[in-house]
Amino acid sequence: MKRTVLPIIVLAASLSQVANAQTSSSTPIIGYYKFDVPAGQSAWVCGFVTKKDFQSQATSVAPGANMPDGTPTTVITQTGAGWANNAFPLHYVEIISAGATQGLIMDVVSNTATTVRVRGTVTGTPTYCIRKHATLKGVFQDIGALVPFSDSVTVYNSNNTLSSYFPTGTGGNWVADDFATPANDSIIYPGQGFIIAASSNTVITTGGGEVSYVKTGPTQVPVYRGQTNFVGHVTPLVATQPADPLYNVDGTATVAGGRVKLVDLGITTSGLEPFVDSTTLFTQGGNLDPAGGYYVSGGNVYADDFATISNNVTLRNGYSVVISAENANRVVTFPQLYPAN
Amino acid sequence: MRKIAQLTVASLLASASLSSAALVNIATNSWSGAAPKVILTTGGQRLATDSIVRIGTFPTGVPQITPTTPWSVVNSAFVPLGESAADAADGTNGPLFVNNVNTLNPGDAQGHFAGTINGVDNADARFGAGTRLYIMVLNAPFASMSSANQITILSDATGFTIPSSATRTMTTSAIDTAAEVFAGQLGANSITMVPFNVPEPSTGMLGLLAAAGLMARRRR
Repeated sequence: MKRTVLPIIVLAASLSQVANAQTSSSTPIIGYYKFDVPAGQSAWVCGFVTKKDFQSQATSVAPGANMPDGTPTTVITQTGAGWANNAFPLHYVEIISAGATQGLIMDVVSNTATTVRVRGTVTGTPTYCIRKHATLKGVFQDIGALVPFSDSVTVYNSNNTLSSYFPTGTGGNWVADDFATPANDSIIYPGQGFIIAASSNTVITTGGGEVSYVKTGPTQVPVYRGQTNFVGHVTPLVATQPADPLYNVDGTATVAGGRVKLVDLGITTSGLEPFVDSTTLFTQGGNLDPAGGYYVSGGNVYADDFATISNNVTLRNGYSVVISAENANRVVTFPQLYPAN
Repeated sequence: MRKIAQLTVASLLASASLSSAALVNIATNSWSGAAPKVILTTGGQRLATDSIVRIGTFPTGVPQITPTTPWSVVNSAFVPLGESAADAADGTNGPLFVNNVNTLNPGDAQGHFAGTINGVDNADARFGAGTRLYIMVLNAPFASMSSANQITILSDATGFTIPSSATRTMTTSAIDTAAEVFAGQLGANSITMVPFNVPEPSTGMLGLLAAAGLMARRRR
């Protein structure tokens, strides 16, 4: 199916991204992009994140009490932060400092004026930022011709259950699959894929609101053993014109715009089990049928005959893939693809 | 009330569109993972090139395999998704891309296999998501599959299932208990095939053997 990608619109490249930063951070690109969604099912990943609400190096870090489900937590102390209590109800902490945890995403559990408690383990005193999660209402600024209460957006949860959400057709609102529970604030994690079920071809707009910032630095995305992990790299779909800086990420001239070679996707350096854990690409639209399975070994990507090197197979920006972890949970680190480091 | 009913139907339809029909890939290899295991014949030799590897299900369970279990018993209990050298020709799934043993993959060696069956339709009731999968290896090429007289049947208890989406990769590395080897003997780095499909001697043949034994005794 032919896809037409409309130009990303850079609205305000000079606006400040950091609302309450104690240290400097990069200048953001704030914008939106439109993408053609084919009839049937198609798998996507959001190319934007929200602005940084805070960024600094941690004053100190200490283990927190475990969550009721046993998940460890960490308390990051930030002397002089002056936050309101529980000011980050839909937020996450991202580790900025270079190193093994760079790009790690951890949900905020709670905060005080000078501390923020997150799910997960943090060591050292890294530089980190706090962002609000991308939510359904924040991601989709224009749902095009999606049919209210019929077409849907579905995410796979970490326990392999599905959560489907439906546009109401008014106010950009969303509801859960009981058609009653508000779902505007349902979270789409950085790098988490989602499936759009559309009854007809349409054009959808992402960005333009609070989820309109190009993320910098790598992104760590968990993939769970034995589950359907739709994931993708956090890079906006790109423009149709060569002059656009987002055009031709892989250097191949194509009307379709930016693509990334599988070998550059980060899957060869993320600790996936060689020739065991797989990456499946899909044909967008229809039944979302697999378009190919790939494996990694020795820094190369192999086709599913386990013999043909497929490093240069490309994935369209904005498409999500399924990474299947057969024997253990993994963490895939998607590199920053744009803007260049 | 009518609107709610309509919405419920819409919900069911939307949910069904994601949870049912899907094409998936079933991949297998015998040389990756933490403890890969080569396939050996009863004589301890590595499985010959072009021997057949089959992937499929045993809807009613794996029959007990003894040296005299005939091919027909094993084959009739097995529903193939695909097999090396030729499609299972069941009219539903395929094509089949399980490689012959000895792939070109670096580090591969005789006795190993690898490949993928693409486009398995898990809307087919026989191959629904969660259905347990088995690997069957025979010491014969596809053209003479029924003449095989050694076999191994493998299935990891937790990992060898048809996925709901994407790709399932089954490796012999995952076979780590004897209970997962339905025919064959599990070793540290190998799985040894066992004999089957060996014809039982007929009554007449037994009589002839007995007579021959008696004659030999009289001569002595």
